Order: sequence, then C-alpha cells, then structure tokens
Amino acid sequence: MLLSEIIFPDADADYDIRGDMMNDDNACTMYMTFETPNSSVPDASPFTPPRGKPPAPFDPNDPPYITSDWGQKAARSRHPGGVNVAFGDGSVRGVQDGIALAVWRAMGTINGEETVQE
Amino acid sequence: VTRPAIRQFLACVALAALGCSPAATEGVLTGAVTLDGAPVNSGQIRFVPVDGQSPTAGAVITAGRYETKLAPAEYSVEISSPKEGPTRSMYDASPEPTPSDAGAETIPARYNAKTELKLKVEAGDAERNFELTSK
Repeated sequence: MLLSEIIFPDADADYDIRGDMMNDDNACTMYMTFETPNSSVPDASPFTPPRGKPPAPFDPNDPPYITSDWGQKAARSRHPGGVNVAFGDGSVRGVQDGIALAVWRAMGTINGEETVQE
Repeated sequence: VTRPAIRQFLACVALAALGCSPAATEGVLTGAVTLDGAPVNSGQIRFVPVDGQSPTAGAVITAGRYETKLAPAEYSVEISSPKEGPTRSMYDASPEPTPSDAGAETIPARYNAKTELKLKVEAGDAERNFELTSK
C-alpha cells in the first residue's frame, strides 16, 4: 500500500495542518497505519488548536484531533465505510473501516504477506 | 438451537447481504475519566483490540467524559492528556514562541504508553468510568 485518501478538514485554519499540500511539515499529506481507516481515535498534532469546538458528534468532514507533542493521522475519507488506497502494483482498492488492525498495519509494510479482504 | 440464536443468525445474514461491516454490532461506550478524583478536562481515550482482529476506537475527552462506539472485543485502553498551551500558528511570522511544556503528557505512563488497563467489551451499550491515580 502506497497511498490513501486523507481528509483536509472543512474547518481548516492555518493551525490545522492535516491535508495541507503547500506545506513541507512532515505530518501534512502523510497518514499512518497506526489507527484503522476513519478511526474514531482523534488525530494528534502540535499544530491544532488547544481547545477546539466540541468533538461530538463525530464528523467525518472534520475529524477529531487533540493537541500533543506527538503526531498521528489516520487514513480518512468523506464517504462512509472505508478508504480507497493505491498499491505499489498500480491497483486501487477499497479498504473497509472494520478491517482488522493487524492486517491494516501489515499493509503498511512491504512483505507482510497478508491476505486483504476488500 | 435457540430462537434468539436463529434470529441473530438471520440478522447477520441480512447485514451481510447489505454489505455492512462488523461495525454493525458496535455499542456505545461512555463514561467519566478522573485523575486523583478530579475530572480529566481534555485529551483522548483509545481502545486497541488485544487480538488485532477489529479496528481501533477512541474519543476526545471533554470535561472529564468520553463517548465512543466499540465492537465487542478485549481492548487495551490508553488515556492521554497532553498539557494545554497557547495556540501555535503554522505560518506565524512572529518569533518562535518560548519553549514550553505544552503537549507533554500529564497522565502516568501506566495508563498510556505502558498501559495496564484492559477492558472486555460485550455487545450493547455500556458505561465505564476510569478512575486514575497519579501515585
């Protein structure tokens, strides 16, 4: 797996770097397989507002975040159910939100030899 | 085979036909988070499936409470509350802010990085409070 959809939040402001293109900071267009796709676990970044709007209900267009001294961003999409990801062989496939964490994490490596259910 | 079991089986078949993910069996888990009796005002709670066979789940903690949706499984629970600080602007031209400890963890590591908290989540909605201690 090489690429995934990620979210550029609706309520973007200069301090929310998620999805930024014209920004060479290391967490902008990046995502990690630490959390499963569209996870309800908040993203984390030093550059998000310390106290934002109320986090509930969960809004996929403006995923929850916390301000922290670590960075973490999940693969996210604006359509329900999963994310589309691109693989090194040129294929594009849908991955469901309910994917097993172990499989999703193996997909972030080059030789996990995992079986991926679409 | 009991009747509820048949009903459950039929429900599963119906959901599978609709293309639903296992998320359909998720229940709402809610509760309070305190440290030494005081509400944890901000931060996050995170549920990681111990067997790796289901997705992660979590929530932002607001005013000492959290609410999330979880599939039944056994989870390792991590609770984090980074110290709040002034807003940092990405493109602020003013000089670098003086270094502060904003973002530093305020909850002991045995509740997050080296968590010992475990929670077995059954089907259906539930309430679970986490009363943490710093000692």
